[in-house]
Order: sequence, then structure tokens, then C-alpha cells
Amino acid sequence: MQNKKHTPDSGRRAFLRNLGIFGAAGALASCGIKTGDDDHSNTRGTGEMTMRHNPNTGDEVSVLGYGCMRLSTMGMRDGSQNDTIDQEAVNASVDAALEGGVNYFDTSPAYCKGNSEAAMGEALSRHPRDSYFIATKLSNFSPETWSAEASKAMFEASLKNLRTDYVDYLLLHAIGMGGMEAYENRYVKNGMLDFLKEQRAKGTIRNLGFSYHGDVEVFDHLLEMMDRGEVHWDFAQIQLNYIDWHHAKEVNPRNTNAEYLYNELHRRGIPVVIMEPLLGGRLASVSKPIQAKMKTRRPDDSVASWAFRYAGTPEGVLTVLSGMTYMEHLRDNLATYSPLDPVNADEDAFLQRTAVEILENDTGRVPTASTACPAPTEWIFPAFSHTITSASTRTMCHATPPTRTMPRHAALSSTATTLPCPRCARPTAVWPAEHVCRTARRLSTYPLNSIKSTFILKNSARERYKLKR
Amino acid sequence: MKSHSLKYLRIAAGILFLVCLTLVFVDFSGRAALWLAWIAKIQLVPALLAVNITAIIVLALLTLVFGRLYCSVICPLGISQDILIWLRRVTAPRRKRKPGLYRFEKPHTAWRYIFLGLFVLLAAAGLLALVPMSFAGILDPYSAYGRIAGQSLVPLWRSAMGSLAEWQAASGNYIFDGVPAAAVNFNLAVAIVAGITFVTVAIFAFRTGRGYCNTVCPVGSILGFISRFSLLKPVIDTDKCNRCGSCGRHCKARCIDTKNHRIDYSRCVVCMDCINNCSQGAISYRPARRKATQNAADAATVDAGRRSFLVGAALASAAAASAKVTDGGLAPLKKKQPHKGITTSVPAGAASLRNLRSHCTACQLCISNCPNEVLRPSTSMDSLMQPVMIFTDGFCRPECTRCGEVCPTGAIKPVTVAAKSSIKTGTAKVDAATCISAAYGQTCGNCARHCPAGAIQMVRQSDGNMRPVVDENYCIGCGSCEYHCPSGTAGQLSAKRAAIYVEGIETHITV
Repeated sequence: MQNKKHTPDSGRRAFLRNLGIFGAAGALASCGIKTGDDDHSNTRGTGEMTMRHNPNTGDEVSVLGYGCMRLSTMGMRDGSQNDTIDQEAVNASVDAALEGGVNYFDTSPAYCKGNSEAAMGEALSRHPRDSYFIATKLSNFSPETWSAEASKAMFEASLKNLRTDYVDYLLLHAIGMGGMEAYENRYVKNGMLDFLKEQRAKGTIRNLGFSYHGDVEVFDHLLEMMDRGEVHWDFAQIQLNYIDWHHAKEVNPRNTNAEYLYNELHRRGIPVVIMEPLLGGRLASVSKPIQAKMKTRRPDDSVASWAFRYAGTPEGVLTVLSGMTYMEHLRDNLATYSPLDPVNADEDAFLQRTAVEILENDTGRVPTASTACPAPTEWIFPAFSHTITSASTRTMCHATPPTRTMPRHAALSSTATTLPCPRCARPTAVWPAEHVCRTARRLSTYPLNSIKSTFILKNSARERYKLKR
Repeated sequence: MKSHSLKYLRIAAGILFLVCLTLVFVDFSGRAALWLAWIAKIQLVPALLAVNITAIIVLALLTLVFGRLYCSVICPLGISQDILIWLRRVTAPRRKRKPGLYRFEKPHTAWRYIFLGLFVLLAAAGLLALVPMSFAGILDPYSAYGRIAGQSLVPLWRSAMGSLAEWQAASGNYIFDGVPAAAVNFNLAVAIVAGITFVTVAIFAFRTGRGYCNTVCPVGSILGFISRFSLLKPVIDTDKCNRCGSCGRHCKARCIDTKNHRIDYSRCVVCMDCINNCSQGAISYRPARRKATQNAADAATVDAGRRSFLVGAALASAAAASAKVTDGGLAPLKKKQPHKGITTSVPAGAASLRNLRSHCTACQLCISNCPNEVLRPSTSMDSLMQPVMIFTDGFCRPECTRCGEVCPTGAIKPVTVAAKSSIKTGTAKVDAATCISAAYGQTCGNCARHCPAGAIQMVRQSDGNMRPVVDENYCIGCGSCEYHCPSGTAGQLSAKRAAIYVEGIETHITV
């Protein structure tokens, strides 16, 4: 199995490549005959998965990649708090993904409290090893794992947990976090970069790349190394979505515009793997006016599908990662990418306008790890409760200026207690998460004249009464 | 207390339990469920499935102290059999009835183990979701009773109340609460299973007394293991016994070996009939290992207790209401057909299809209790008789959490109203071709107007018609849109189904 890298022009690969070309031609043809929304709704999700070609190893990679950071838990199955991984659900999901044409699985030793690789190893090992590509990472974030021994042990453990003797894609995990210093400590001083290059030469690693967050200095440095011929990056993973394309700094001052990152990589012929196509779930849920515009253009498509189509459109994109915990998300994404209908110039302009609209009018600034208030997650600041993503209960505080107030929340005010905000220390009304996070978030979207408002308010009042008792 | 009173105490307690449990099924207004749903939760199989430790311990202790009192007092199918047995006795000719209808029989141990093994096998397969738990539920006596009541008493009661309500509503009187006969739930799959169970149980009851409980029923077998060692038992005092054999001939469990003065306590359901039938006062209910007290109860008249008792009055007004359902005298309305999606919808507390499938024994309690006419028994083999949500007669109201409150097995767990309003159980999909607004240009927007989650809005299509679109992040799958959609209901359209419908999801999401 390991020598597959050395025979990239074998018959199977050539066949697959031809298949890919035909697939692409088919996708183009189906785009060509498109005349309007009605045609679109008929073709969506009816074809084959769009495949992308990796020039380094000749891999034909599905444009939809399976992210393994949030796998199903037993708690999801039975409604409890149990967070052990539901292997049965993971197996079913992996089977459905493979059947839908997904062949790229992105995991890490750091995901799911360290259990993601083992769960994926079990699920994937039930299928032929050459029917999928495994991507994992050297996630030696903690200083204890900076030594060569510990880092090598981490890599060996990955192979063991994934039940394989080679990894198709290996990433230096999240370079840029901690700046050049962290990068030097994690990969250069301990000789891990050389070790990984050796492993690539041996075939244990088929593609070597990196994922980037944070300090752009490290990103530039790695590309300069490649320009100098010190290392060859087979691929790179960046955050790309229609907000990050031009407005990454407005989301998080440490981030870099995806336009720059993508162009730098594409110019060098490095295939790009996309993470955060939904910006942490934020782009799956937009305000009503924006949603109305999206649905007017493509009524049957989900809000999330716009972000996925956007991320998959650039030709240098190898695959777009999505953490598909729930079967319906997998189905929706398969429909979006089978085949991918690329975003056209008009739609691209629409999404760029939408990005500005989201940033300016919708929710102020998008919460990310850097702007999130460190308040305990059970505290919800109601004025911002609509910025909570379904994926994570991140909150914002006074440090971020509000752009919209929601007077209807006043109805809930009797349950609030005043506490100093842990971030900016100003007195802040804090609502119990139980009904603000859940009830008020929905309330924020109600039309004013609707009986629904009273209906939910009545329920809130009932809950409030219970709490008082 | 005198030993003779024990039988009447048992009968009174049994009837009380049976009536109360039946009320939980029949009274769809939910008042009975509020107070009495615990009776369903102390049934053995549901308690085991829900890992209800308290109930399991209490039942084990009860059996360890009193013997299989459970089968005579708590189990609704057991009490129902007692009623059938009583019916058989009072209808039997006096010459047969007087000497007693039964004779001692050796236990059918092999059959007992076969049925118990089958039950355990089905339950294990159910827990692993290889088959729905309702297959094991076929043998569970409580669930069997639920199905029988759910397909007989519940439709009868509801249609009677519905008829009364319609009749009285005509003269402006709204004291009755009920649904029109057309909406009364009757499901062929459940009715067949319930019917077969009832006929089997009735044949056993008429021919062998408690033969079903002592051969087929897995709960009877499980409790039989414990009841051998129970503290209190009916014991024959050999000094007093004149070997008349009356006790054995009146024992419906057929477990008294009068020749050898032995009672098979694994089959005895402590009905106390033997005590009252012994003219010598030789049988008493007491700790088994102690010598019989000499001052035993004096022999009372044996026939004192032959009083008749009735479970409930038969409902007379079961006439099907054939009144035409119209909407303000406008378009004639017809019944909508449900959509057949990829995934079925199940209520919020179920958490996932997998959880419901592996826990529900199909007792129909949630279905009987659903005030919104939305829960229906499934007819598909992978969830046979288990509840699914069908949105043609109603929708799953966000403020209602009844099914989770009554479910005894943990298949549908209780959720708070606040939590329920954001548990996503499905996503609405639009079929624009049959939408009277999008396809026919009519002013409607009914789905958007009625959406409790505010997830639907009307947008203008390229042809100028308005069309509903669904925000899949806010939609909780309550089915209000499907229920309120005029497509499939209004007579002038050829569509059979709603133009907007709910596609269930396998694992529920908190949005």
C-alpha cells in the first residue's frame, strides 16, 4: 500500500482521472443548460459528486470533505449529557458519506477529546483502504508534546488509532497560532519537519501540508521556504468563506483575508483545503431579509448551501470540509456538491454584498474565539443572544458594540440578575440560559404583529413562574 | 384482618388499578394522565426499559414479601383475565361451577423458558435496534393491554364523546370535549396484533384460567423466580385439611397439588380464592416457614363474596357521526394524505429515531394521550406500532409535552416546554408544484402565518407569485405548516397532499 505514491500513473489512477474529467464535463454541461430557478431545483443533488484533482499524487478528491471534529455522541442519541462517541451513528454516517462519493476524511489527535481518530479508524477500516483518503494532523500544541519523542509518538498513535500504515494527508496543525515562536518550537527545533519529510519520502505520509490560523508571518514564511526549495507543500488548509474573503480582519483582527491566502497558494499550484466554510456555523443562519434574498434566487437551497457553493467554487480548492454530525446535514451537502453548481459572477457579487450586510446590519461582529466573552456559557447576554451559533454557545459582551437592540426581550427581564461582566467588568443583566438562549433567540425573529410572540411569551412566563418556585 | 377479607381487598385494589390505568388511556383531556400516569411507569417491562430503579426495587420487594401480587393487582392484562375468568364462572352451569372448574396441572416449564427466552432475545435485539422494541412488546402484558384498550375502549370513548359534543354543539352547548368520529384513531396493524393477543388471552382464560400468565407471559415467569421465596404465601394446614380438593378445583392458576398438599408458588398469583373456598379454614396467608397458628380464622360462609361487580358502564352512543365537515360553508373539505418522506418524524423527547425504536414497546399510551391528533402508530416494519408524527389531523404543538410525561419506557423522555420549543425534530420542505400560492397565484401564506417558529416567509418568485421558503435553522418540524396547508384538503385542487410537509431527522437537534 505504501508504494502507491510512487506509481501515480498506474492504470487505476489514470482511469479515475479520466472519470474526473468526464464528471467535470458533465457538471459543466448541466450548468450550461440552466435557465432559471426551476431548472436548478430539478438538477440539484441528482448527479455525481464533483471531484478535484491533486497534481502531486494524482488523487481524485471529492469536493466535499468529511470533517471529524464533532462526531455523534451517545447523548445525542438518547437526549442525555453522555459525550462518549456513538460509534454506530459514526459508522452509519461514514457509510452514507462514502456512498455519496465523499472520500476525504479530516481528523486530528485533538478532536473529540482525543477520540476522533479511533472512532474514524473503526468506521473507515470497514471499507477498502484505497476507497478513501485520511487526513490527520500533528497537533502538538501543548509544550509537553514539543519534544521530538512526544511528537513522533503522537504521529505513531495516529497511525495506530486510524488502523492504517500510511496517512494520505498530514498537516502541521494550526500554524500561525502562537506566531513564529510556536512554529519553531513545534516543528523546527525538534526536527519534526525533517522527520515528516522523511516519512513522506518513505510513503508513510503521501501528502504533507499545513493548516493555518492566526499570524500571517508564519504562513508567508512557510511559502518562502517552498520558494527557496527547502520544502514542498503538497497542500494547505485555510479558512475561506464569503465573509473571510475580504473581511477576515473585521471578524477577528488576527485573521487574514482568504483572498490573499488563496491567491498565494494557488499561484504556487498548491491545492487548497477549505475549513470553516460556514464560519463556525454562522453562515448557516442569517437574518430574515438576507435569507429572503437567498431564497428568492434559489428557493429550495438551504442557507448553508450558499456558503458551501462559494467555498467550493475556486478552481484551486481540493476539498471543502464540513463537520456533518447529523445525517440531514450530510444529505444537504451531498445535494449541494452532486454536482457542484459554481457561484457565478452575479452570485459572487451578491455574496460579497451579503457579507457586508451581515457584518454591518445583522449581528454586529461575528463571534469567534478571539471576540467571545469568557463568561460561562450558561450566561447569556440577551442583547446578543441572536449571535449564538447552533454549533457553539459563544457569547459577546459590552466590549463589542451592539448594533441592534431587541426591546421584546424586556418581557423576560424579571428573571435577570445583574452581575459584573467577566471581560469588561461593567454590570450586565444576565438571563438564565434555559429560556433566553433557547426561547429568546427564536423570539428575536418574530414579526411584531404576530400572535406567535404572545404564544412564546406565554410559555416564557410559565417557565419563569416555575423558576421562581 | 381475617383471611377471608384478603380476596375482596385484592379484587378492590385490582379494579382500582385497572380503572385508573384505563382512565389514563381513555381520558385524552390529560387530567387523568396528570395524576395517574405513574401506574404505567410501575409496570415491570417499562420500568426495566426506563431503568426506573425505584420501581424495579419496589416491585422486587413487593413480590419477595407478598408473592405475585403484581399479577393480580398491578398488571392490567392479569386483572382483565380475572374478569374473563369471572365471566366464565358466572356463565357456567351450576353443576360445573359448584365443584370448581380447574384441576391441578404440572408447570409447562419448557414452554415458560421458551417464551421467556424469546422475549429476552427480542428485547436484546430491540436494544441493539436490530428490530423495533415493539416486537418484544407484543409479549409484554402491559403493552398488550395498552394496545387492546387503545384499539377498543379509546376509539369507543372518543367517538362517543365526539358524537355527544357534536350533538350538543348544535344547540350551543360546549360542555363535552371530543373529536369527530372521523378523526378517531383506529390502526389496522395495531388492531390485528391487539386482536390476536386478546383472542389468545381469552382462549387461555376460558380454558386454563391463568394459563397465559403462567406459560406465555415473560413477566409472570420473571416474577415466578422471585415469588418462590416470598415471605407471605397461602399455606395449607395439613392438620385441618380433609383432602376435599376444593381449593385445587377452584384455583385458576391450577397450582395447588391437593394430594400432596403442595402449592407451586412460582405460579400462584395470590388471588386468595383457595382461602375462601376451603370449608375447613385450612389455608391461610402467612409466613410459610412458621407453623400454622391454632387460632386460625373461623370458617366463614364460603359463598359470601359472590357479589357481582362491574368494571364500567357500556357506552351506548357509539353511533358514527356522519356530519359533513365544512369550513364556514365554503369549500368542501376532504382528508389530506400524509407525505411519505425519507425519514419519519418522532416527538421531541425521543431524541433520535434510534432511541425510540429501541425502547418503545408500543403500548399506545402516548398515542391515546396526544391531544393534538398528531401521534399515530407506525405501520412500517422497522417501527411497527410505535408512534410517529403524522400532520394531517393536527400538528405537534410546541407548548405540549404530554407524550414525554406519560411514556413509561423512556422512549419519549420528558422535556420542558422551553426546551421543546427549540428541539428540531424535522424540517419543512416545499412542494411548489401544488402550492396554491406559488403555482396558482392565489393569496395564501397560511403556512407562514401559522408557523410557531417564525421559520417560513413568503418570497416573490420570478413569475410574480409568492412562494413559501423555509429557514431550515429555525424550523423545528412541528408540522403546523403541513396541517394548515389548504392543498390536499380543499376540494377544488387535485392534490392529495399538503404542498409543504415535514421531513423528519434521525437525530434531533437543539437549535
